[in-house]
Amino acid sequence: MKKCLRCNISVSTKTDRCPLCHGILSQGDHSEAEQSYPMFKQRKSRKQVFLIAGSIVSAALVATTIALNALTWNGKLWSAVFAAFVLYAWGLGWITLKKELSLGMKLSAHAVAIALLLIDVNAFAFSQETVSHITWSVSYGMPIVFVSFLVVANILVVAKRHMLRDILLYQLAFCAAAFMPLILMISIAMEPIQPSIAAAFFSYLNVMGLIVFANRTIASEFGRKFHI
Amino acid sequence: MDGLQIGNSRWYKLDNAAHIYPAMRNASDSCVFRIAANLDHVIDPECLQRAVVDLKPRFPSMYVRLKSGLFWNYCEYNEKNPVVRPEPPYVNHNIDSHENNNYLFTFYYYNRRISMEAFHSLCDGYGAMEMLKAILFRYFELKGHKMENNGLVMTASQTPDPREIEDSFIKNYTSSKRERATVKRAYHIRGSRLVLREGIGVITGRVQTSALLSLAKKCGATLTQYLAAALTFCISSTEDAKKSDKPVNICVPVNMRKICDSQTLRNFTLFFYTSAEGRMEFSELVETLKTQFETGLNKANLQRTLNANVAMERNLGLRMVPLFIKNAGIRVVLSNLDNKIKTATISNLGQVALPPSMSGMVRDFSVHLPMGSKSTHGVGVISCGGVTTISFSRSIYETDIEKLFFTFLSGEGLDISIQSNFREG
Repeated sequence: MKKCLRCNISVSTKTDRCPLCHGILSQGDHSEAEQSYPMFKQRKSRKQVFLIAGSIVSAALVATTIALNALTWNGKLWSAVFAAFVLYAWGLGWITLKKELSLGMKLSAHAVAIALLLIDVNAFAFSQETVSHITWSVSYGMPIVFVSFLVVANILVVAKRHMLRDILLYQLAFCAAAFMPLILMISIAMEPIQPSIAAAFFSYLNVMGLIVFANRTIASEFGRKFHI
Repeated sequence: MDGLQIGNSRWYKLDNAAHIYPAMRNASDSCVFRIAANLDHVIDPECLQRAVVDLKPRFPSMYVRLKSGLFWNYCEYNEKNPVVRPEPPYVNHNIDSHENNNYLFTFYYYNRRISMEAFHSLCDGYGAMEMLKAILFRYFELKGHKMENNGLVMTASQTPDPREIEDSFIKNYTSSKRERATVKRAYHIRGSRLVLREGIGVITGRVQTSALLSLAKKCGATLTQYLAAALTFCISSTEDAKKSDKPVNICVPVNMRKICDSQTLRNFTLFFYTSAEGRMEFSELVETLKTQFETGLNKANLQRTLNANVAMERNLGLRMVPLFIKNAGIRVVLSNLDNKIKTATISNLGQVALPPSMSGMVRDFSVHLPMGSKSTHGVGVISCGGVTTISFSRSIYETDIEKLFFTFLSGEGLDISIQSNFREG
């Protein structure tokens, strides 16, 4: 044990400095001297640099695209599509890498983002300008996206039973979302309506399946998530 | 227990104190505390891992994961097993629940030390200490030692008592008088902030319990009163504090188990504040703090504080508010009110009683308090086997308070040895 003569205190350390006064310690008995704590190492975080550089590059690209779109204007706002893709890429990276988010949350965020992206592409780049600007994205895109994610969620639950509780509420959310295209198609009176009907039917079958096979889990999960 | 179901689907609502920590947790405020035991031999990680897994059925309120509901957070049974790790250089660092199999505690090993770091929503110091003792007991058993319990340690073979997992805040709530003590805005210790996401600064002092107790008795004070007075005295003797017209307020956690006859392993702690304005002689300060301790530890006063805290949680309007709004509210209230009334915290876990078969193998314990973004110093005190450890946790580089404190005790004739994690540079 070393001694700080200035503080009149024994110090158990391998270093020569007193942690209190930073004075030189007198050399004492080395028998008990062991590193009290693991060596501290400064963390080198490159995440911040990548984020700043990425933001600047993305903003520059979006600004250039908007400028090009304005200079070569042909009646279509195609730069909005590019901006949406850049935003989606950022969102994709952030959501996928965020460790705290659950798998269900990540799947839901991706499903919503892809659906919005399709609507954006349809509205600004490939609009047929018939009844609505978003015909194919709502009639085909949204049903396919939500049903696909619902299938992925089902496969996950079948493959890993213990994930049921984690994914259950998101499964129900996908089921609700899969009804949305049908509601939109009816309310705007768009054609073709068949994919939306198929998606809604698949969603209905899913809800029924969950009620039959996982009714207790559903009740328990609702009790937890919505307890006041 | 409120909300608890038996079987793999078990879950429970957070207790009154546990609600605030998920909202407060961020990169600079981990809300994690550490309890560590120094043994007489280098730790065997494999035995420690087995001990931690073996105790899973014994502590149903501990082996859980934190989940978010629409209105409140809750804890549910964690099917995965916890994993012990080598101790990192960062004390009380944010628990990465993803890497930690979603557990709210982690067991670390380093040389002769076993450390348990726990997120405060899970338990308070008492609960963590009971679990650490049980893990140590099982660890020694697995190492081949003949162990005798004497009823001082919870063992893997016991069935959990429902009283250990109850929400004692709710149980002891009465709808009668409710009132929180008003506390003046406190003086804050100034210094260069450590990068808190990289851990806190720690300096631990070891003294003979008997010598420290005799010093306290000489002043007619308890150990906690004496150390709180010494801490206040040292803080108020700094040049910066002398210039300030604000009082030095020390936050003192109170273990409510003895007062309310509870055995819960979850949070059951309330706080009171001692306050000292202007420069006082040490003896005068001890007398002032003794009076404040008497008021602070008064059962009726604590009951009123408990009632006020629980009444807020039970308010129907507040209960119906979505969780993300509640979290934002908690952050605003605590950063603007709670942190402003506190200069430092001192928490004395008291004397740890170990069975004779264990006491020879455990050299001492230490407690490291969590450090928030606003408060700069926390002092954890614990005694075992004739040794009292006084652990300073700090969020600034400067060690002036620690120096004043330990040289003060040394000046009173105590033989002190210290250890540091050398975050001071």
